Amino acid sequence: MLAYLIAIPFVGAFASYFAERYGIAKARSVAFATSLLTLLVSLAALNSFLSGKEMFPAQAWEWISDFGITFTLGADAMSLSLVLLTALLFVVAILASWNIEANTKRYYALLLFMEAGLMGVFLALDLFLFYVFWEIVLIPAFFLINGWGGAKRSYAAMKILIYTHLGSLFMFIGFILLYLKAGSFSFFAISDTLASLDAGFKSFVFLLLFIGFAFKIPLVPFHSWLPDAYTEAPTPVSVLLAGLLSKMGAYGLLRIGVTLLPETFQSYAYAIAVLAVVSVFYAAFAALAQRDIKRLVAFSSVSHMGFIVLGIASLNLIGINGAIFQMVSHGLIVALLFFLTGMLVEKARSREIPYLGGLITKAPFLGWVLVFASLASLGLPGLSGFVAELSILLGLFKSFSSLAYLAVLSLPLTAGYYLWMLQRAAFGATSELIESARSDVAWHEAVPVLVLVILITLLGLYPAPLMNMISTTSQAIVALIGGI
Amino acid sequence: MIEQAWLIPLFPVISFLIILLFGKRMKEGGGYVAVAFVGLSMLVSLLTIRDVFSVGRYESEGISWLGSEAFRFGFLIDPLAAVMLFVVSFVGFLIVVYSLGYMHGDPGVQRYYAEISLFIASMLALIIANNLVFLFISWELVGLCSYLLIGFWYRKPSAASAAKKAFLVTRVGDIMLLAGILVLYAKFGTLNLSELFELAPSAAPATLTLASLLLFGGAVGKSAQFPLHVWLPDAMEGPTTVSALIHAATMVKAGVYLVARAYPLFTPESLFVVAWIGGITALMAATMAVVMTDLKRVIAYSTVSHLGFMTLALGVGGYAAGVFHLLNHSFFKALLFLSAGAVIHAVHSQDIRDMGGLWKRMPITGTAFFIGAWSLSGLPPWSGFWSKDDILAAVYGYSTPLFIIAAFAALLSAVYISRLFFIVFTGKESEAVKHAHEAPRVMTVPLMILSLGALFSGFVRFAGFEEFVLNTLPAELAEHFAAHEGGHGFVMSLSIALAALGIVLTGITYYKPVLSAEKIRTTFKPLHTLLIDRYYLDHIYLFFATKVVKDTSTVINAIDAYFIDGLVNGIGKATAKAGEVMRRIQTGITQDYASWLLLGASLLLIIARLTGGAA
Repeated sequence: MLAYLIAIPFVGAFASYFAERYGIAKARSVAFATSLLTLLVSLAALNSFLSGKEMFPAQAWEWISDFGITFTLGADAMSLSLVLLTALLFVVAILASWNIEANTKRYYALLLFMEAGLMGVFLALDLFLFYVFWEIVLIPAFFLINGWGGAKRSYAAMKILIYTHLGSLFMFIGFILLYLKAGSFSFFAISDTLASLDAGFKSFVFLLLFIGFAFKIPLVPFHSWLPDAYTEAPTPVSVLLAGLLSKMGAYGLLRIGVTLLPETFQSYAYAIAVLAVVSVFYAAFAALAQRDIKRLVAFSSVSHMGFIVLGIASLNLIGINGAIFQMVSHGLIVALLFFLTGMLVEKARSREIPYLGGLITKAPFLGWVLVFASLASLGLPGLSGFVAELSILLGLFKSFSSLAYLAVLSLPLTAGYYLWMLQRAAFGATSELIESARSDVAWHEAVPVLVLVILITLLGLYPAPLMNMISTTSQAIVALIGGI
Repeated sequence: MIEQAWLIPLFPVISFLIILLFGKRMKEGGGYVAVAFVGLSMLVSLLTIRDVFSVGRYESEGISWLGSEAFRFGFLIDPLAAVMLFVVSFVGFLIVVYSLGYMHGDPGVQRYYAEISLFIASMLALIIANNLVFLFISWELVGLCSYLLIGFWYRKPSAASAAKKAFLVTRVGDIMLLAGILVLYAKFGTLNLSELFELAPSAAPATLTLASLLLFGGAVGKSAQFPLHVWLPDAMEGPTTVSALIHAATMVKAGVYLVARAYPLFTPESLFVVAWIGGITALMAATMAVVMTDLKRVIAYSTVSHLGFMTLALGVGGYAAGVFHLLNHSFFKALLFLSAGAVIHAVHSQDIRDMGGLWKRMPITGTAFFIGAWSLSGLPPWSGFWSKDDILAAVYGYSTPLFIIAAFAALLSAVYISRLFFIVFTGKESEAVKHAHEAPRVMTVPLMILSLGALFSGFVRFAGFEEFVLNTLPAELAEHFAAHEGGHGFVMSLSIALAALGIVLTGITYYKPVLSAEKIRTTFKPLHTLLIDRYYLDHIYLFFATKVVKDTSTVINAIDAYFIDGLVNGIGKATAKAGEVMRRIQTGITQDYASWLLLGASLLLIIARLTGGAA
């Protein structure tokens, strides 16, 4: 079943490519249908997971046996949460692409190709396979930014390509070193071998891997590709970059960094947490200075990703629970935020905060959802972000209480830049620009917005079901360290 | 009904949803729905309170919110919760009814009733929460609703700004509360209040002091205590009904309630801090109330001052006195705000210098204001007198300097409220007042009911209120604090004398001008400026926000744009130069990217194979 999650979007990509001959509407319909089908299959996978089916690993084929490379797929609660998020956000992204008319050649094919890659990353249980999917995701991302982005698109595309590829290189060297010791790329084989290896080697490998993940997440100071990429990318791609691609790094850190090298991670945990706190504050301060609402969201996203790393570094059950929950929650919230900035550009033709005053008066739906999304992002209780941040802080406080006090101080700062943005952009007197803004809302705008709003609220009001599921993964991870 | 107490917050939530979804098509934007559901909620509250008299205390099983037992959310009804439920649901209900008149014709009326329903719901949930996280969630939702309601007329830049200020300043308190939750969870592994109270006596006092002070930090923000009181006077930007709801019944009471709720966690050391913060707040706010010229702002500072009294009472161990004042204050302050609202509605101004001689034009409103003012001034026999007297008696036994502070603040209470009354309702009719009319019935009836409350709520003291409230605390604690209470001849005479003195002083300045207000102002010019400028605290915060925080952000942004990004671009350029050579053998980097990737990977694998790593 898991293989279908990769195969369907992969086949869909080709189908959409050929459907384009009969017009863009056809290509779009094929892509939309594919994304819906993928979502259905991921729900089916969730169903069989919940009914107790062993899925870790679920499927394994020989692939390049010469080099001990297998095609092993598996899913635990963490993978499944991210698979579901991926499937959902691709539906959202395709709906967000509805108005892309110019130069549509290959557009939907590239999107679906990226979906296949992401599914692969979250399902692969073989390091080589993981790496291949990891790189596959980057290629469509590059073309999508370069082909459909804003004014500085080629600069931004080149930057993300070179930058994250550099990060991947570190990671790949780490993988090779592991392979050399274990003679296999399989997670399970490596994890068995590693126990007997000396700490110095593991430390070195860990650092290589960590740099790779830190580029992707990203942590300050590895983040400078991000504001340009997120801002210049077309709306649907911004949704995917922030919602999903950043999660690849966090997922890798947990799945590989912590699971394969638990003691090594433990010895670096404090340093990583410090780096994450720096990241949280640095990005929050940078967000405060932005005039472009999309750039503000981009920096805010870096700040929130820092929280995920804090949760991971706490290395206890509640902290890791929070980190995984935050991956899902942040994915939903940031997707909503970027979706809205896309609507803003379409309706008001600007993202510059000072020109947007009085948005609520003119376009109430867009304005109020922007208020909602901002509140969700600043961690308002009752919405999903709070559940994640609370768990992360509780976990962090148990491990490093002084860092937790510091991290708590970032919350008013986050509230500050969002509320200041709202004060200028959403409320106040109607600006000249906003006077001429459109206020219509099409179905392909309303549906994804409402779905995201409802999910963010439900997960915030009653997080227990998702948290209980996630907890199975966290427990397994924490058991490796011998903690609780 | 006590086992169905969860219905109390649920009704206004339903009202919120109905109005949000269908309010547009309803009469008064769904105002009647709000009245009906808040009314139902009040009904269940009253039935629940009746059960408290017989059962005493009830805690529900609850549901697991986050999978772990520490986050099991249920409700806890005890005498303290009962008092608070009464205040919020009853006063809240009257304010919603009053809104039908006050908000009539406002284009945003649907949003108003949706938000006010959610506001009341969150406040009611906060009261019955038995878990600190549950409490915190409701607490923040209360904050959210106040943000939305203060900024209700969001087109006004001052309203949008005041809303943001209220949210951010209280958020500073909120993170302290959150930190307190972190400490308690790390220490006790539970956040259930009853379990915490059981475990608390065995914990190290230092931990408890830290945790309780952090919780108190939350109360300082929410209940507008010094030094986080600055948001409240600005919060007047919303509709007056909102001010009444925030000040009288709900939001600001949440902080005092939190201290009372978590009382068994407080140590003598932390209570010392609580007492002094309360005392300072009571005095400082009262001094500012004396000089302000905006009708609502005077009442706002008065609220801050009286919240200070409640905090002070809790700090010095006058548990029942603090809760008692909370009850009485709700009535007279809601009354004052709503009658002020009626005045503003009629005069179309908030500046008391535009007013005068309103008594003849608005007799019902005037009477209501008079009753509220009398009660607040602390003259017997109405409610404000009894609770203020209990507080002073409790402080008297605790510390002399604090007693002097509290007594002076009590004197000033009488001064500022009678000043307001004399200026607005007596004297010559001003131009703005000439066209004023009495408010409609839907507004005056709630005023009459609240007047009854402001007059008589003080008499519950003689119906065993103190014992009832003390039942909230564990038996040993209750016994300990009961000793502090009780009438005190000297204190009572002093309290009456001070109130009378305050009124006489104001009377000879504003009613029969023997003293000239102008002259007093010029004589004490520096003091007057200090008070008008609110002790410069707002300036200091503004400096911090604009200079420290925003400048840091500008610097970091510059570093990011020029240094880090510059570095990256520099490396990029250098690499590009080196790449010139490569470019000749390449058709273009991007197209061949995938093949390079595979080639690179294979090379590495071959190297690996050659070095003999693979089995």
